[in-house]
Amino acid sequence: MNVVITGHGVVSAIGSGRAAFAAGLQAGACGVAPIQRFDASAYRSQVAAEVHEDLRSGAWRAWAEASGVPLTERRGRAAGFALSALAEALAEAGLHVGDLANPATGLAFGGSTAGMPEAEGGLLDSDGDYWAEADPTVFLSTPVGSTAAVLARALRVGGPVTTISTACSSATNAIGLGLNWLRRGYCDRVVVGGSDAHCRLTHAGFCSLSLVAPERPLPFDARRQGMVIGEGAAFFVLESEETARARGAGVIGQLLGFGNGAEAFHLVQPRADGAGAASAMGTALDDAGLAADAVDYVNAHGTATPANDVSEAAGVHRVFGGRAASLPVSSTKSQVGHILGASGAVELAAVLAAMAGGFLPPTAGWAERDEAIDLDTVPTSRPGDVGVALSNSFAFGGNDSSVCVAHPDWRRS
Amino acid sequence: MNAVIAAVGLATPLGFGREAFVDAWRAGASAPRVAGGDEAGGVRLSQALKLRGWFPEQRASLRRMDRLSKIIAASAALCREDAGGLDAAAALAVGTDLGTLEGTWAFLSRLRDKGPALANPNEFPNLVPNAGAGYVGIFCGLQGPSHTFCQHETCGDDAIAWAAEGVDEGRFPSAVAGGAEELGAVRCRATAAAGCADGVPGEGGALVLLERSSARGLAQVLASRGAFAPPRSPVRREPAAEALQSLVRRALDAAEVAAADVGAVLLSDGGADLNAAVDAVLGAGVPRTDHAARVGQHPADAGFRVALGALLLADRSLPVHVDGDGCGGSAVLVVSAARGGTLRATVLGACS
Repeated sequence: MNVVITGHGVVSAIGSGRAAFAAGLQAGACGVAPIQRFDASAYRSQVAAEVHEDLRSGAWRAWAEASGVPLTERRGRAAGFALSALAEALAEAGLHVGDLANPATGLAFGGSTAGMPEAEGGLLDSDGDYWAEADPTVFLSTPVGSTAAVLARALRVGGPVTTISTACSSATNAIGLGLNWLRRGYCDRVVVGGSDAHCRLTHAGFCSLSLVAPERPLPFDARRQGMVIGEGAAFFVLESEETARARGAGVIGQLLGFGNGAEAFHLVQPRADGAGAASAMGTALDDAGLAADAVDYVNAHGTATPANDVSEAAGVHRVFGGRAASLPVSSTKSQVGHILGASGAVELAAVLAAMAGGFLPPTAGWAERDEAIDLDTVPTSRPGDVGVALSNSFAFGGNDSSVCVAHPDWRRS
Repeated sequence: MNAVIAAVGLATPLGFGREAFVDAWRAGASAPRVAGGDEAGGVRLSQALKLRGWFPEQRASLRRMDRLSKIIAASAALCREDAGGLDAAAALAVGTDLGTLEGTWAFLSRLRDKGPALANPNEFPNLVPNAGAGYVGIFCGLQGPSHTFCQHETCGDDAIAWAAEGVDEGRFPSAVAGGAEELGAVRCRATAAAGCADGVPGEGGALVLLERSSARGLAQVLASRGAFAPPRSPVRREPAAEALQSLVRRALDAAEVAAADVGAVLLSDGGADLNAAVDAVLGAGVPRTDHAARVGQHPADAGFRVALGALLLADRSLPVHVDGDGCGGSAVLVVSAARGGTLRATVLGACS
């Protein structure tokens, strides 16, 4: 079965809505700025890629009206990002929430923070008895599954609904799950994606591990000092090509394959030899039925931590051999930050933007080569036709994932 | 679907390991309920989580692990023992709704009291829901696909469904799948405050080994189907009856099992509505397990219920409930209704 993408929506710090996001991506914009969500003066890093747009007015309102997604039904910042991205995705797909109210439509969500930005505030800002003062409904949005429940209710989805939370590969794994539900015939249509909001828990945690940079992240650059946390969401409507063509839907991409594996090595450190990364990419290519030479571009996990970038570069060399040094490989995290559980979704949106716009997204800010990283990191955006791409997501727990996606006009030779 | 449950790893309030659990279950035992004076009342695991014997080379990691990860690792070790070993290419699927809720609150409390400079770097990696799966992958050398499902009370069902489908498709040769949850003060206080406390809060872990074909099979996973229907209450698990009935019928159809062949039903906590919806499909009188009263409940206990269902099909003398007989049918039905509205029905069949 050929699975196609018929709609997508995106919320990010460099622009929300797919047009603004694509423009920011191509221009090399960077959404990293001083943190406004909370007082970060006591943290090792005071920057993040936060979203400050009003996602309920202007085009968002029009998309919501076209799709029937109730932007007002909000339970937390992450759910709000998700609903906005979903409104845009459904509007592009030409779908209304009423079209989803059947057992053949599923929702697979990936995320990590859910309602934590709201719930943590009750504890961190409380001088008294948290439990005496706590709003139980806020607590109920803390488990990561709560976001998908809110979305499923808003979308009136009637089929399977689930949440995968595998840290930074969550959304990519949710996309892979949706692909599989379609292939098995459980669903005719699956809405997939991820959403995460910046919060003090994750900021403090990554700072404690000394993984966060004090200024903009510089993936693959010799000067890199770590990641910068971002926030946002992206969602996609997946359908079988047959279903999409039958209803006259436009196709914006083809989801060809998915790979996931465990490194079985270390909870937070990747294998330096890139074996885990290579396995995920190789499995995605096998699942797509493609050889490595079919790939035109890799959207890297590219966190800008010293360990990840060396490991991922080694993985790219394992998969692509002699082509690795000249294959365009860039990190969207240089622009939107690391959106943790939702990063794979936003980065898949970046791949679709590149395919539609005929450009290669940059690793913004890259200037100094790391001798251990022999890649074409695309320092500035440049024209390029992307027929087939991989998008990587690697996570705590040694959880490595990759999706293989193709331009809507790409056909197997 | 070609996926056989070949082994079980049970860390329960009624015992650790298949033999200890089956003996206690057959004897009609119920785990003692700890009073809620410490604000974490409920049914606790029957023994301490001493993992050094199973993973002697992992001393440094064992010191850093949180309690939920230890429960998951213990369940994996017990599954490995029951199976006589695990394939390095095996997939791993873990369901947990609350994850390391207790650890998260402890981390936040320290953040509030000590400030971000003293946030503990050893604790933070344990706070991601897939930490337990990560430890198991490292300890058992599992390099296959690994997913952690977190959709409230259907998380364990989702994990088993994904694993069984992957085995059926040949995407991996075998899979270890199930669910785990810990019992702690934060869970009890929060669910009580929100008005959604479990009947008898419990904890534990249960992982099953799924293989494509196995001479040692306990039961087969015949089909699993999911659905969503907005519940009447966002807090209580009161599933929409019509949607649930439709789901159960679709699962039975996919499994090619007649309602009359179902010999036992293993339900999540869903109150009278859930029972009535299942009765509407199967007819009244199909025995239910009394696991909730005997080992307590937790959001990821579908892993335990699937394991128990497999044991009931493998040994027809094992009583379905404390006053009952063994499973009288060739299939069992596992149904979960989650807070928020997700539903899943899984049908297990006897190995021929």
